[in-house]
Amino acid sequence: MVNYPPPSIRRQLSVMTVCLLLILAAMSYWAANMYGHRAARLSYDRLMVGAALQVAESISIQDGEVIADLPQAAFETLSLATDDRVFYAITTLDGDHITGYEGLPKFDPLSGKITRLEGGREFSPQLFDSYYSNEKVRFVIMMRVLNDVGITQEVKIQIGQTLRASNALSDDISLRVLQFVAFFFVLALVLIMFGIWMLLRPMNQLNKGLSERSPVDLSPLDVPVPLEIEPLLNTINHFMEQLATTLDRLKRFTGEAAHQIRTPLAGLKSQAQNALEEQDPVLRQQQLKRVVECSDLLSSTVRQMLDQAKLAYRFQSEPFSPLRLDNLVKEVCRDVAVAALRSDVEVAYLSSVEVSVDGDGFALKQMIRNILENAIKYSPREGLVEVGILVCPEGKEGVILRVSDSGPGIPENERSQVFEQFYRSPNNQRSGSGLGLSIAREVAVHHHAVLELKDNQPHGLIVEIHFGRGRVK
Amino acid sequence: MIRPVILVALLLIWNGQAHAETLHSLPALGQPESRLQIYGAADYPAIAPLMEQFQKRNPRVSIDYTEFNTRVLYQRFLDEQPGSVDLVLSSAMDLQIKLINDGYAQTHQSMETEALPRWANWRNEIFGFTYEPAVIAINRDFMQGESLPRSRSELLSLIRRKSDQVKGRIGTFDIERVGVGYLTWAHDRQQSGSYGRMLESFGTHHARRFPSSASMLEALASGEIIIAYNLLGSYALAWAKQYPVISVIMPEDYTVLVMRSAFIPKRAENLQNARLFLNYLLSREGQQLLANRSSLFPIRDDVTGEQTAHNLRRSSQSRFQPIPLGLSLLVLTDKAKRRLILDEWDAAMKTIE
Repeated sequence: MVNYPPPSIRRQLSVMTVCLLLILAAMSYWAANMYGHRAARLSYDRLMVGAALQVAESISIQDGEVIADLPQAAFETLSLATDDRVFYAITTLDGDHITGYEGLPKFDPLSGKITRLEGGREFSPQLFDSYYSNEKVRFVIMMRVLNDVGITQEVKIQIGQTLRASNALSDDISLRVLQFVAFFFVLALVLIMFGIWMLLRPMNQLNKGLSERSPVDLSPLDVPVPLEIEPLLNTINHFMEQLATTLDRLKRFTGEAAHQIRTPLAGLKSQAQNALEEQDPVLRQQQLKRVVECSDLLSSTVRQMLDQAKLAYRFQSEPFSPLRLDNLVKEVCRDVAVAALRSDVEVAYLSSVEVSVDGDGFALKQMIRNILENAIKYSPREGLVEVGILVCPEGKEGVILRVSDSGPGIPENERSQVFEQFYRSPNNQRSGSGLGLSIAREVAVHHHAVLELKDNQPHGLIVEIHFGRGRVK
Repeated sequence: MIRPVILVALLLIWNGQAHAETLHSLPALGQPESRLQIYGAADYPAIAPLMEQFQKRNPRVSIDYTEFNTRVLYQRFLDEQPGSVDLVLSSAMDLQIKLINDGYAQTHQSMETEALPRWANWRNEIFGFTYEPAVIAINRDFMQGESLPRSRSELLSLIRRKSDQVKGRIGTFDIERVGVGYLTWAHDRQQSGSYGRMLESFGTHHARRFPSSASMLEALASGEIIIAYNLLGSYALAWAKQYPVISVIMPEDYTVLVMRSAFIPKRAENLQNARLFLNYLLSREGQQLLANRSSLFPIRDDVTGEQTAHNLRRSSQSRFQPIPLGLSLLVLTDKAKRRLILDEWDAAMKTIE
């Protein structure tokens, strides 16, 4: 395969411009050539008609005989075409030769066309091209009626001239036009190249502005650009803004995560030290239990952080496949049921509908597990966590996965914040990483589902995830 | 130098001269030989030094120079087509131009042709090589101390004053037979306001018609005629040197300058030699030779000497009217035009009988 270089705007513009200019130059040269030829032809036609008129005037009838006293002036007019030969003949209409050359060609309609000149209407000159004496010759034919007492005689005057001067003039005009066209071609080319350079200069400035800035500087570029490049600049600036936000979040997350890990570690360490020094076996037993709890919390936080990283990776790489949502839910319910029972909480799956969604099984399970674990964690003893899949009523697409508990619920004013990473309600006594709901929402958003928090009656929280694209099997 | 025929009766002279044709052969000086055939209307003695010098430079060329009366030359050239000689020299500019216009010549371009003035070259096919003023010559004995006429009108008044003495003693070319005579006469008809009076005057004074400048000068020197009109200046000046009785006048109203011209026919058999000779004819050396050794006026400006066109024009600028070598001469060859001019001439001359 041939490796083409990337297309260059400058080159494309240049090539197109040169092509266009060449076509224009060729066309104008051709047109000017035609015009030059016509102009030259017309000039010498006029001279010839002038000479023919002079000759016509010099013919008269004397004593019943046609007398032609050719005027020298007519030939001097013709000799303005310095180097051209001239052939002429004066004949009567019957073909009787009066004077001049014999056997001059008649007009041959097959070989050309007759031109009639304005003016000299009385004699109606006709012009045509023909060959005589081994050369191309331009001829004019003119008629004149002579009247004398009792005689009317019509005579034909034919004058022909070779085309040297006419062609020389035509060539001269062409040459001048060619010089003119060439000059403008070069001028236009220079101007257009300058124009292209001017046009592309903002691009270069933009590029320079971008390449010269420090890698940590994500503030918007302030480069003056033309209207057409403004969208590009806006996109770049928008992109950088997003990059800045992401970087910011990452920094905050790293800080939070470090903090989240350090706190349980510090607790762990002090509990363990306390246990080392504790003589009372009962107290020590309690302290060791706290160590275990702390370790659990730490491990769950780390697991969730890993999960989140894994999810972030899967979101980019894993394609969706059709899944049975009900089966996923049941699976997770089974997984958490034992742990729930240990906390004296019952998990109940109430639906029997079979639902299919397109999605990533691992991610969805992660989401369901986090919501369920959250519900179990905040449920009181002998609480019930109800899990169900509802089919949307008429007029609304999709299915809803609903998890309701009888815990304390989340106050209205905190609902927007609970999805933030490491957010912990100030009233919350329970231990937790603060990542669970955040992960759940990320998964929901990734699956184009809407996660909603509602109040349960008399108390508790309902989490509803609306899969717009889910469908009943 | 002067053929004895001239001294015979007029009619005989006409017939004899009109068909005269003299071949001068100059054998090659070296071998192998190549030919050069020239038809010329210049008198052989005038052109001979140039041909001899040419042969010295090109010893392998043999020259056949055939001398004609101009009209005979023209007719002979046409009759011989499609065959052709290698070079045609003639002073009948109108007939030469007619041949060029009818496509009988081929182009020739060289440094020498480029050096010619514009009006001595048409289409790079025909080239003027000498100038000839058409002059008036008068037998000084006849004037008896009176001042010479300086213009045509002064000439006319002289004729009027001495009407009885000049009757039958005015000479001019026989324009029907002498090409250059027809040319100058037709030019007078075109140019001069005095043409009509001149024609009438010549007619009433029984002007005699001569077949050449030489014969006219011969008659003038012998006192047979006392006024010669429109004869060629080169001959007149040469004769004036020899015979002090002859006075040459270049009319101050205008003096016509005719050119001798040369062209190479399209079908020239010895083209290389023709080109060589033509170049030599137009070269500085050839022209200088014409100025020094012959009685012809060379055309090039860069040639020094008494007999040059340059000198001629410098001596009095305005009066000289060169007939340019070009298309306008074609009108003089027109059949109808020629008949008109000759009819006028004949009608005037008929008064003799």
